[in-house]
Amino acid sequence: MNQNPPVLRYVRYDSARENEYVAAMRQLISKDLSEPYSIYVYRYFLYQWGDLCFLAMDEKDEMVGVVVSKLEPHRGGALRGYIAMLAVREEFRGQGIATKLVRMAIDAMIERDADEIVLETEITNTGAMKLYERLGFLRSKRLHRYYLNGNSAYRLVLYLKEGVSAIRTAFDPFAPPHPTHMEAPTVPVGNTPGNGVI
Amino acid sequence: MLPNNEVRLPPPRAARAAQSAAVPCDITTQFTEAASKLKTGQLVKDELFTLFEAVGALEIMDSKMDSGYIAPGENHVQALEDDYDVRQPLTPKQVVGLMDQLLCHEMAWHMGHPLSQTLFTSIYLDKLLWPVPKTMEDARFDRVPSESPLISLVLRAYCLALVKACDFVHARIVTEYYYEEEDFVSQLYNRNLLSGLDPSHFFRLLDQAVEWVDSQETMDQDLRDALRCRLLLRHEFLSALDEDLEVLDTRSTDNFVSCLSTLSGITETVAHGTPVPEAFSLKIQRRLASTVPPRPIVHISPEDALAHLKRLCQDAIDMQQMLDYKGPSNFKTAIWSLLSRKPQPSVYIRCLLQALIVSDMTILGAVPVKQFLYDDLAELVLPSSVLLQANTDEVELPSDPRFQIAQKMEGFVKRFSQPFVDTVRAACLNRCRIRRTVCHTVVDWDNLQMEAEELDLDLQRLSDEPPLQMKGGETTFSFPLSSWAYNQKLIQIRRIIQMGFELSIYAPEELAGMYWYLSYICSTHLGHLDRIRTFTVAARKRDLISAGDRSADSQKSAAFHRSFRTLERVTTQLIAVDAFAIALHALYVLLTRHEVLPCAAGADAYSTDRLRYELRMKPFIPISLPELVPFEEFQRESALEGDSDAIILERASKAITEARKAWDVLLSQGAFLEEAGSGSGSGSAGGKEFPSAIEEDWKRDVKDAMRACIGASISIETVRKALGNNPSPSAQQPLNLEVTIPEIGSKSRWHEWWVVPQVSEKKNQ
Amino acid sequence: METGHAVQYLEGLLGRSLRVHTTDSRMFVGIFKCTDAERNLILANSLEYRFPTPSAVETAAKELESWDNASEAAKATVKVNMTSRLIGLIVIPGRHITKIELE
Repeated sequence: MNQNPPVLRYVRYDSARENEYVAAMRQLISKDLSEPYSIYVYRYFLYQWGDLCFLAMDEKDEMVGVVVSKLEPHRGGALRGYIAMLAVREEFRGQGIATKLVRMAIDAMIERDADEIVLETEITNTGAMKLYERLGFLRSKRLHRYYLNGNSAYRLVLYLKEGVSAIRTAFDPFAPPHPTHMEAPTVPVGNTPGNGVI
Repeated sequence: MLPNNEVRLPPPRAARAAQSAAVPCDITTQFTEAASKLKTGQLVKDELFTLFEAVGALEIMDSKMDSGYIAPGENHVQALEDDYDVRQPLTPKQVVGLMDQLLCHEMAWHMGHPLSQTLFTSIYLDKLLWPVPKTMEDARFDRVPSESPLISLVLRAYCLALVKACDFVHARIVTEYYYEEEDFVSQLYNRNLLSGLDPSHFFRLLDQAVEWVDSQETMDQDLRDALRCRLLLRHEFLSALDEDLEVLDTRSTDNFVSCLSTLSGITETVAHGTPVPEAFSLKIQRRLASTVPPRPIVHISPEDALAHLKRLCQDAIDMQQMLDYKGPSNFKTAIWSLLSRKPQPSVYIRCLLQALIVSDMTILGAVPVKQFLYDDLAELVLPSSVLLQANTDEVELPSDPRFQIAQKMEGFVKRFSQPFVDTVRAACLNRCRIRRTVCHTVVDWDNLQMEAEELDLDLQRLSDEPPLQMKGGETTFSFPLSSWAYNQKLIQIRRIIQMGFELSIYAPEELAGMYWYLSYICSTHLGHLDRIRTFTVAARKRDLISAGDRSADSQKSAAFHRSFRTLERVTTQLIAVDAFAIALHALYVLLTRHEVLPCAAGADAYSTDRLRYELRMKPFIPISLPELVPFEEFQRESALEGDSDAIILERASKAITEARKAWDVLLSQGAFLEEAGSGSGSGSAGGKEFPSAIEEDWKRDVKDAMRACIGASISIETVRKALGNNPSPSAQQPLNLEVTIPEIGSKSRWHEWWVVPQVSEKKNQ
Repeated sequence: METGHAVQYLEGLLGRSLRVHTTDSRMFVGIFKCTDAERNLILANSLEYRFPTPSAVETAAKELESWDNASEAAKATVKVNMTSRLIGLIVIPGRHITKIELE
């Protein structure tokens, strides 16, 4: 604790450095998150919302933290932001890096006129829960056995504008059984824990 | 089938694989060259194939995603095949151990883990089930059976009966509403759970096995007993599952009771078994048809497995106590109480119960849904009403108002039966899904209420209903159907709020507002019940005035009596909830006001109170009645603005005293409404007993709420004392209190729905 | 090959069934959906094929021998199923690909 915190650079993802960045991100994230992601999961987010991805780099230009998100109209309604992945290298935790990254992502979404931001986090991941709740997210629902490891999740939501909730969506609670999470979390398969250990 | 699906080999056993027929064209070079011309980030993809879909793709050669991945250096043959020999001799101890390991895996599957991580890791089961056996004889461990009957008879009988039990469980669950992966993983990986084979074969085999065990006089008696009770369990459990919906006819708990009695024998002899871990292998996952990543073997302890099975049996036995229909409110109370057991009954029980609740539009296999709906209407709003008695069969003249009433009511039944039954059935979902489902159905009920109101207007004209003069002087009508629908909706709104507490949805700083809102909904509901009661009283008065036929009146009187008692009960319950909510609201206001309540949101949070209120009220925003409380009013009311600490303390104390009384009254009334003479509709089930085990659950729940009341009284007194010592706390001199919110499952969280803050004096200050 | 031609060539393969062999001697057969410069291929409705293990071959051979009336011709070859299983939508990273075939 006596040591000075390392000087970090916070940068936006740059598609010109795709090969280098994606490799580093994959390494960082696969260590932290329980769900596995293929190269195309990264592409899905980065090709469409690379400007909502932020990185924390140390003095040696090595990646120590990353946040990956997206922003699109939710079922034709509200412009919904989604924080898909968040990870900080273990030895750099507890310095507010994750909070800083999430704030950058939220600010970028606000700039792009987002109505709301949502994400899921494992119930057992108290660090992530605290982080998001401090930023004003509320738990909107609990998702039973949401992850591959059998853990449940909370859906966390942050409204950025008034009147977002007025949009209604169709739902048939007794529709025939369906294959998996009908709520279609913004990421379809291998639900994104959104928030590794931070 | 692909042309090179088989490899041709010259005999005797030279294993040189060769390609067959249609020769595919090697395009490696062209492909590689073409791909190398693409820029970084440039994709060539099917137009209809989106990157969104691509997210679901599993990456080959990645150990986390590729279930067929074999690590470098791993021997291919060993990686795929276990050198475990299923014909090798086993000691009786090992067989007992194996049986218990299999039971653990079976229960883990019941708990929601996939077969690929549980039973399908067993090499014995793998051999039995692949290739898919067509006959009992095909279902064996090896082509040449082991010479030991302990394996070829006893273990095989156990395994086969276990698989068949899984077949029954699987069949029941997949025909009901459940959530794949949340409640249960139905995936069979292209295997079959012997569904085509008749259970009688399995029973015969088990009998033979028991006979053999009994004849082994040289075997240690303890081990013979251990094997015997395990085989018996398989027998009884299979019989119980085979019975399925037939319990409606047999009304027999025998099979599950026998299961329970074998369980104690198994529990006592677990220690006699020697586990055989090498008989289970993750390698089998590499051969299962699977579109999911590889996952580790799930290990649960024999204690947990036996406890799960014991609960399943007990739930199944207790469930039978409610198979006699005793009127709608008793039916609903029994279902909700049984399904609110902790831990929640297993998915098999919940699915079985769904089917028992309603199949082919019949409740409990006996009462048509229409009757159930009519009984509910009679209990709440329409005792002995012409609306429920009108019948198109008896009145043939279409111009007769009674004919038209009957037609209108038919329309009502068509529209409302399903949603009404669904409100009961929703209790069978997992707890998270109950709340989410009710959040959606409450909106449907808002629309249903409006439709019912239309019908009410027609019925009011057709039945020539006399209006009532209300206290304010205006005249009004009873609107029975929409009143009933509104009652349904208010119950659902209350449930959404209360299950929010249960599922730990609310942040500490929201608790004051949520308990305020709960009490607001309760008082709205109480007002609504008053209105219903006023009209029922008036209807009864009219009835007595016009009563000529004495014998008809005794029936009418019983119907009214039941209705008044139902209203009284619901009222007592609401008063208890309301008073407790008022007390907790007041308590949380004080803790918030003096900044001793922990707070989840930081000072520099993005959201505002207004936005957070909107988000929290989202399920209720589309609802027209009760109208959403505007934010300003909510803020004023829920913060008790303008009230001094003393007034709020007084409010809390009074309310908690009232709550304790009300819960006491509720407890003394009991869970169920007793039949008085000939009850309404077909509900009279004679002198049969009430479900006593379920009544115990209900009582425990009320007592837990009472305990929470006492806890709240103590917290209120602690705050009173602190305020007495420091009447005007400030930033410099804050209240000397420490507050924690007890988590679900902790000792001081007496009840899921009542979040009583733990308030104590700060130690070192 | 020009970039334009390259894209054209690859696009012509979309929707067709490819057999992709990997460094660990497995073969995947599925509908070609997508690729990038590094040949990270996406195949849909894929089947994984693996060469039978020696013990499976042995079992099959024994089974054949036990058929007394099996004709000499039938005895000339033993058919052993190449073990296959459905694994659905997959990504095969280019660095693990040893051969690509078009059906």
